[in-house]
Amino acid sequence: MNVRQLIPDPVEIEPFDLPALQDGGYMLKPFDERTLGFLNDLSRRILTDGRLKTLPEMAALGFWLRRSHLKELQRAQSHLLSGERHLLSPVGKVLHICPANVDTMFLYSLVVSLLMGNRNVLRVSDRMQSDDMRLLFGKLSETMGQPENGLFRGYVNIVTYGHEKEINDDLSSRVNARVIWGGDATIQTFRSSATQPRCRDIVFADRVSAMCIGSEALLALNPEGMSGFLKDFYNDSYTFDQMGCSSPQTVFFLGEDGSNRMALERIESGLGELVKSRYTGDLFSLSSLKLNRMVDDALEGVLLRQSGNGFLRFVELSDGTNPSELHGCGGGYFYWRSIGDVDELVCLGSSKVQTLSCFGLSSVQLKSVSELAYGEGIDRIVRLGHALNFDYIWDGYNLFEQLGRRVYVQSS
Amino acid sequence: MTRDNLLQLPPYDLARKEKQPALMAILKQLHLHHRSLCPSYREICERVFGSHGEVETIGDLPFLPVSAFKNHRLLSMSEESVYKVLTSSGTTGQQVSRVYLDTATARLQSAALARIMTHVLGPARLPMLIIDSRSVLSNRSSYSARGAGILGLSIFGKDHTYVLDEDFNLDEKALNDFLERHRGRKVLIFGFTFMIWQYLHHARPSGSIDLGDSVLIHSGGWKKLNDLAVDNTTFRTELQSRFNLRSIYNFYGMVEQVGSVFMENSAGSLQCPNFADVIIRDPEDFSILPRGRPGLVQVVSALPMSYPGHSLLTEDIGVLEGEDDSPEGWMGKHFRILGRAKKAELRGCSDTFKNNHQAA
Repeated sequence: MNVRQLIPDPVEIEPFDLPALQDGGYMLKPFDERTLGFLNDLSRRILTDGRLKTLPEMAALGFWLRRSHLKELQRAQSHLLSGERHLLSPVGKVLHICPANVDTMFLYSLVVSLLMGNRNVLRVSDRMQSDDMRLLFGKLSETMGQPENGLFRGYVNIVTYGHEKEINDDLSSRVNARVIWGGDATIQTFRSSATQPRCRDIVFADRVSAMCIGSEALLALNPEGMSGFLKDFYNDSYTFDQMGCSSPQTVFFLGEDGSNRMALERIESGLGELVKSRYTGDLFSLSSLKLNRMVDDALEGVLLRQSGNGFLRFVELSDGTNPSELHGCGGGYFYWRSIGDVDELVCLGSSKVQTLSCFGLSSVQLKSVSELAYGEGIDRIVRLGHALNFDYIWDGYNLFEQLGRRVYVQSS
Repeated sequence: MTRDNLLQLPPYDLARKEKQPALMAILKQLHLHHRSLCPSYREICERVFGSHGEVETIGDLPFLPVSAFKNHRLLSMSEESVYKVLTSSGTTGQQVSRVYLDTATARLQSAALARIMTHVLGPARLPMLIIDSRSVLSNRSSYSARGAGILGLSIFGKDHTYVLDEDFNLDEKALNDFLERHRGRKVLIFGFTFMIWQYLHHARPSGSIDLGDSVLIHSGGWKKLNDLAVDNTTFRTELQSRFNLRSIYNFYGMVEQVGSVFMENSAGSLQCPNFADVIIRDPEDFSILPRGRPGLVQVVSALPMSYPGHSLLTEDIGVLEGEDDSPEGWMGKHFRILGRAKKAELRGCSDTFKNNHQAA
């Protein structure tokens, strides 16, 4: 029942022999200077790599890991790090389950966990075929190979194995917290592996995201403003093939119906060229995929009419459709609805909805939107162009708090 | 010209000037027929294509993606009229296409297939060698595809002889006995492209095999062979040099349009018969592409009455090579298949522990 360890050393190993699962004590304080140094070193290696630095999601990670940024995070967590009534400890050993796609989100939760001083085992799918992710792991391995970083061999282990339940069970029984990316199916799978009673699960379920565009503001943009808008729209939507939990599936146009339709036309005519020049998806496949989905959506009564082309399809939602659970086929497939008032976004107040990216909303409108989130609803409200930016407040969690333990110390 | 007239003519006789009006008259009527009898077809026409009534030209016909038959139950007849359900090949866990036939459509399909095959084979049934194992008929998992294909072609042969054993080894005795029995006569050889390459071409028989007087007909797609970097030209030259096979016909067809097959002409291009047509569409905006420009292949057929399969967009990439200009005077458009759109599922965050089934 071996797993294949990728980091620190490529070896076949029994789960209980993994360095991070040994009882060696916890040497790293939350935001330990050594951890900051280690991550800063990794950051430098990412940002100086010819390939990685050109990839937006990798470059973003590189910047996030710089010491100066980590220090900012530390300041933001000051309430957590020190208090009159508590001291802060890691939770212990943490198992991270990562999605098979190219999403980099799981790296952030790993880093948060490491910053808190936890010892981490990260399981990546044996189907993970991203060369860029391998390249990144190579950088991590190099960083860990530095003499001053030897300690981290016991703090970050990356392993891969198939779908063996015995290994899931074994690893689950040995940790104090599990961070489960990969959606509902993965959560279900790991819930069937028993943990210690006090083990914490931080789970990232299947989510759906949306976008809200103030049409008047869009129509008022000058050409330069429009090209910035389109770039933001593109980055939010086409990164990760529009398949991330934070990638918008439905676009709400807010305003008079006529303006809303004009705004849609503006986007359609402007976005095409941008997608064509930047997006690397195979057009034959994307075009077939979208036609297939349009037919399904038409027969399920979701699609009223459609417009666009193989690179971008806009599907107007029929009145009866609730967009809070709709997930398209990705690659530039958008549901859309014309709304006259922010109140019509009330349909998003569901635990399925994660992110709403907004453009051109007045402060009054934004306030109404944030009130809609009160309850079971939306977890993130961001400006257009920031849908995929990681924040330590994610899916309703403050990950630093989740991955730390407050020890109550009675003052004398 | 009625559909029956169109089917009775030699299949490659009509030039564009006669073919287009004749075919279009049938297609216009078929479009209205399916609109009125298949509510799903009507929904797709109206919602996806914005098409609300008659169509004027072949290019205006809405096209259903072939996957529509996987996800939806599409028929243009009453449930009681269902005579046969065809299913596509697919590995376990994969959705298969379901095509619903009534007796009239099934009969049209047989008649159409016969029209094309007899054009190549002549009117008499020929002794038939099948490059497959008899077990393919009993093996449920692959029955629907290969088994149905073999049975469909079997009516054009006699003395049906399977030359692969259960492990797909060449049964030399069966082969030699067959050749001995029919020495000096034209025989029909049928098999799936990949099976022929893998198990006939790669077989290492003790003696040499001369299949010189036969007509080889094969189908099933090039995906596996393209993975091995074997194209149609290699396939043909290799089989000629090893077995002296000179008469080789590939055909392109699909379970969603049975009978309406596109047979290779002697130049290796796939030929549209009178009752079918092909349109190559730009994947960007679905506009019609001229000769020479690769695009998604739309297949059009006058046969499907009981299900709305008269105009389909495949996931194959093809290119139009000409019209009314084939060797031997074959009329109609002819085209080539270049490959298939990559399986286009985009993967999201939520797939770590979902099993992914891939076609074998």
